[in-house]
Amino acid sequence: MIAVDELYHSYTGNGTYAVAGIGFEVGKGEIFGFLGPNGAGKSTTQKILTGLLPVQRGRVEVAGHDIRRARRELFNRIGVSFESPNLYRKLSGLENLAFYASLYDVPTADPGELLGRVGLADAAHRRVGAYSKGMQQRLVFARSLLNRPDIWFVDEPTAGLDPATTQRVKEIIREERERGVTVFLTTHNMLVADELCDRVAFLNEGRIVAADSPRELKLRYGKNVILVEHRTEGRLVREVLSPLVEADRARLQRLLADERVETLHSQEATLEEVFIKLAGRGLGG
Amino acid sequence: MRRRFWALAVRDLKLVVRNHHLTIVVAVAVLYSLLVRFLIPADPGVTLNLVVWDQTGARALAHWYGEAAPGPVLLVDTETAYAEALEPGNRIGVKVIGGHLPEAVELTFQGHESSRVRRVLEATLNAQVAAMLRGEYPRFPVTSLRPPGGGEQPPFNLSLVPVLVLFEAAMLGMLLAGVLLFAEKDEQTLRAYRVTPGGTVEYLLARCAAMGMLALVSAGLLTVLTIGPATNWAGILPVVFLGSLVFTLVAMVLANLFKNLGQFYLPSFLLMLALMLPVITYFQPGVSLPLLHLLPTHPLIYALREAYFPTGSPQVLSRAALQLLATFAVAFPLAVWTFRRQLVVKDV
Repeated sequence: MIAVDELYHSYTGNGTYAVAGIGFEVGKGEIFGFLGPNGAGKSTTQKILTGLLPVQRGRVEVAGHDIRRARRELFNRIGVSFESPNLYRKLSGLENLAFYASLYDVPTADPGELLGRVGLADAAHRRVGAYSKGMQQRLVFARSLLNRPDIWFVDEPTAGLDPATTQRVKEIIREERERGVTVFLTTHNMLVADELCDRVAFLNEGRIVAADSPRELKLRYGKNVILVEHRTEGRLVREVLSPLVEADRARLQRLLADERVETLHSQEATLEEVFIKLAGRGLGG
Repeated sequence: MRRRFWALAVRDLKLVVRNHHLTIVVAVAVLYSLLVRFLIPADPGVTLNLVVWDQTGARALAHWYGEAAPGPVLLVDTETAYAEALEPGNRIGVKVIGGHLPEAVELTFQGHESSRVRRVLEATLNAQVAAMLRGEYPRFPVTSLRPPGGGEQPPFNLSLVPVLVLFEAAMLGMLLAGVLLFAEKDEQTLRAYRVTPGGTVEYLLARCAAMGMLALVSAGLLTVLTIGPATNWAGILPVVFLGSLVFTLVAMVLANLFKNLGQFYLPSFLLMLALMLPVITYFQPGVSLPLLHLLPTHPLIYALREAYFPTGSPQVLSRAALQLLATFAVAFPLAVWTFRRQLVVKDV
């Protein structure tokens, strides 16, 4: 559904690239996480994929359309959930959705129903200027689903949301995937990506440094060991054992048989640790 | 496209109402109407406040001033009264010197009178005194070049209505269109619009239409409150609407050049001043500046005058409508181009 090849983009035109020769493909019904710290080139890439920035060099196809020649047919098929709450503050939540719904040529979702889906039914007739930031974020999220998109670009969907709403947003993303929607998820929240994405690409300084499923990345770059805590002679003892080493396996079995084990922790790497390993810096900055 | 156009226009009208732009437009129209009806005089012609001291035996000029001359005249008999009457500062002294008949007239001005006032007074006195000395009154052949009823000068206060409609109704779109665009830039709603099938053409057309509607409301209100409901609506409303379309486009192009409303205000104000220059020829028909004919406000103001005060030249209206349509036809592709360029290349 999305094919990117040798994509470059420069804001300065002096050889400094925000996106420097990236390439990837996203299949139908896949949740593809595009991960990286601020300034890595995530937003630039998403803007190019959605036609907000021109393609300077490289090839981008979205739903079979060359993005350079993207016309109405494509925009009827994609949805974009922005990170910033770009809404008409003087219009109500319902009016915002009704306005955007009227721009599409395809059958659209019922705005009231969408508001209910993101927990804003009670605030439907309130002006958006009176919404909290989290409510505005949810409205932007709902707006991106108006045209029942085939390809859904979601930028930092859980930023600034409380845990319950975050959970609801993640459920909606999974529901849409079940419907066959292709999701391009841009985030620097590794936990969200780990939980939702079928595949992720790590972006650092405009380049993709790794792309695979979260599981494969963690296995490839993490430590395949188990931290075991057991009580021996009244003392708490921590041991790191590898399931790949025969002696460690035997030791673990003994500890389990003696019923001395108090906790077992898999020591596979988190996505953030994998990123740090690959990029030499964290995702926060 | 039609559905999108209406959705955009309705959105703009809602924003206009909720941002209190409509309230401002109505308030300004009412304020202008009050000025026209109650403060600006219908005839601001040359009014001379005279103090006349006729020292001659016949006192012919004093009699004439006392009986026939227009305007407020104070007749005095002594030098003290003459001096005291001149003190308030807004009177002109006329001292008639001579024996039985006038031999000379001495005028005492306050110093702030215009040369026009001085010339009018001197000419009137010369003619009057000369006529009296000859025992006759001057008779000049007067020919009316326009048939009665076809070209009467409107009262001065009402003659301002076309100018106010031009300024308030048509050009208002310029400022408000800019304000709306910068609000959208600030809220980043244009970015959300650009990932929908909505295009630049319907976006600009809808903005023009919404501003045009606002201009019609403003012009209608101003007209009803000043001229009255019985007027040439079929002439007034189309030219106001067309004028508003042109100025809205101008504003959209101009607003694209600036980052925020603060930067936009001064250039737009200066542009509005420049566009108002044809008002000079409107009030001073003798002034001929060919460059002013290039401004879209030039045909517009004369069309409005013809619509409000017909002189039997309806072609002024149709010609202005064609000129405004032609301007719109040229400005629209330019606006679309600059808009797309600004939005796509600079991602505003």
